[in-house]
Amino acid sequence: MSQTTTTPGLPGQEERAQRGPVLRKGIGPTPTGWFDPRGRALGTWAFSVNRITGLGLVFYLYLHLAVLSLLLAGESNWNDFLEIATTWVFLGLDVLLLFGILFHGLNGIRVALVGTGIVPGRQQALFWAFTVIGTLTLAYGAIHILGSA
Amino acid sequence: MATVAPTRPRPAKRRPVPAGTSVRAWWWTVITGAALLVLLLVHMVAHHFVVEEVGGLRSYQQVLEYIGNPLIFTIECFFLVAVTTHALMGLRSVLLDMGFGARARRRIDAGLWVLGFATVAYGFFLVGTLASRA
Amino acid sequence: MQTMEETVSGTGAVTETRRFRVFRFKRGDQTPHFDTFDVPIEQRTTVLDALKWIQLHRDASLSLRHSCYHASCGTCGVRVNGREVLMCVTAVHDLGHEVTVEPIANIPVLADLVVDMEEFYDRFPDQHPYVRRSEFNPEAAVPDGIATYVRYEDCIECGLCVSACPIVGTTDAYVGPAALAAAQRMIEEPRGADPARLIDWADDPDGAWRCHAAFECTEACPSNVNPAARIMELRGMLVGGRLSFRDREEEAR
Repeated sequence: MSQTTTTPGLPGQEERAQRGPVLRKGIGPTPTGWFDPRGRALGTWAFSVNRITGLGLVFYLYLHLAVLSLLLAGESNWNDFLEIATTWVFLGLDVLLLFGILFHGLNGIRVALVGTGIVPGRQQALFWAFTVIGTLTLAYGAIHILGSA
Repeated sequence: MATVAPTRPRPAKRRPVPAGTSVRAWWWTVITGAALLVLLLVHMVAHHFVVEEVGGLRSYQQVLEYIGNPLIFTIECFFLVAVTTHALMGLRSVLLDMGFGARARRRIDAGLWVLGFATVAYGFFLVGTLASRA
Repeated sequence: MQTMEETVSGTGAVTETRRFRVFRFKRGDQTPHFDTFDVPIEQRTTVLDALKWIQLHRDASLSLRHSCYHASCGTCGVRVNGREVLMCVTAVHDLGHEVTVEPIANIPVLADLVVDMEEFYDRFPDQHPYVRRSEFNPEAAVPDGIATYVRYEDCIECGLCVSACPIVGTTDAYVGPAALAAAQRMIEEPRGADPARLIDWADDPDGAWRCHAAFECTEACPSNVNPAARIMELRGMLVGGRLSFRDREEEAR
């Protein structure tokens, strides 16, 4: 809440009118600095990974719709896809997808609880609790997915 | 809060979106997110853990049988709407953080509505076509 | 024989030397740079002590701000090895061999470690709290002649939260944690302010909705304000419509 008056001729006034350099943390142009969580606290890591997984999942959504379109083209096209879908590389990507879903989902519960003011002060405890749940689920899912190959 | 001699360029504080928009946006993101916890779980289980094939993936015939069931069809439609909404709300959040002005934000919102409708429309077309072949 | 010049505290006992990399920038410079100084320190030397030593014995043109020497005024906020701290209470001894000192982020630099705090203050809402009812035990006996305790806000307006916030780092339009926490405290205890206007002020894409729960501000705050939790409380109020201002005003009286 500042009230400056134009007293003319104050020393340094013209220099102050120019904006000095603004230091930012994180790499990349200013609006993208959020994805560099180095040196930051737990909450920023969670936010950063949440965003990255979210963007990855948006990409996956449209990729998935495109792949499902193969069904329209008939059984043989779908079978061709199924052959690729059961290779190791693909199943590995499936596990990556599972990680993305688990992180985004569980952290999303945390963000919903904290960000709607329900448990505003408990964000770290929630993060670690969900990490345990997520890791166990990911392990089970990864074993099942890769084990079925 | 008038600075008579501004020391740096600073846009006047005005409301770029109608009041309550942010509250509704947050609300929809949370609601669809909560719905997805259930719907996505059901979807994942249905498509990876039910059928006996490798990875639980359904063959062409199995897909048609699956989507031909009216209850399944309805659930998958709800899933489509929820996931598209949540995805585009998240995209909106990332875009809004890029420092756009009021007019650009309105255009982004309009663009996202269009994209959302197009996505859901295509999805409905897809499941509808498959269900009709069952 | 050790002279006064060689020691920070003047006791004549130099235990070790640390290398300080200090951010330098003056108006008219093309780009900032870092100057390196080897500073003698002792067990209890603070970063502020070390920088004053540099000012006195090595480079009198080093610009910095400080005032109270005991983390109460919020003037001496800087980043030490990337972390936001008040330098008057940051011991050099625990910091490692090389200490990098930079001004806080997200606010324009005026010179060296001094930033233009006007941009920090400009983010605050029009109504801005300073005094609150005491947080002491309400049943505690107050001495004779005193009606009730009041105290100043926890927030010392040091700007460390604004420097730490990753969202403020992406845009200058976001009002930031200090301002939102101030609004929330005003709504909690209005003291004649208008809570509805403050809620309206916070209900903005660049207000409470820009926060993404990184909680950096709460980590950095040297004064227990917990701005992030307060921002989440604000959002709870906005979402739930729990605007029971009249109840809160009754309590405040």
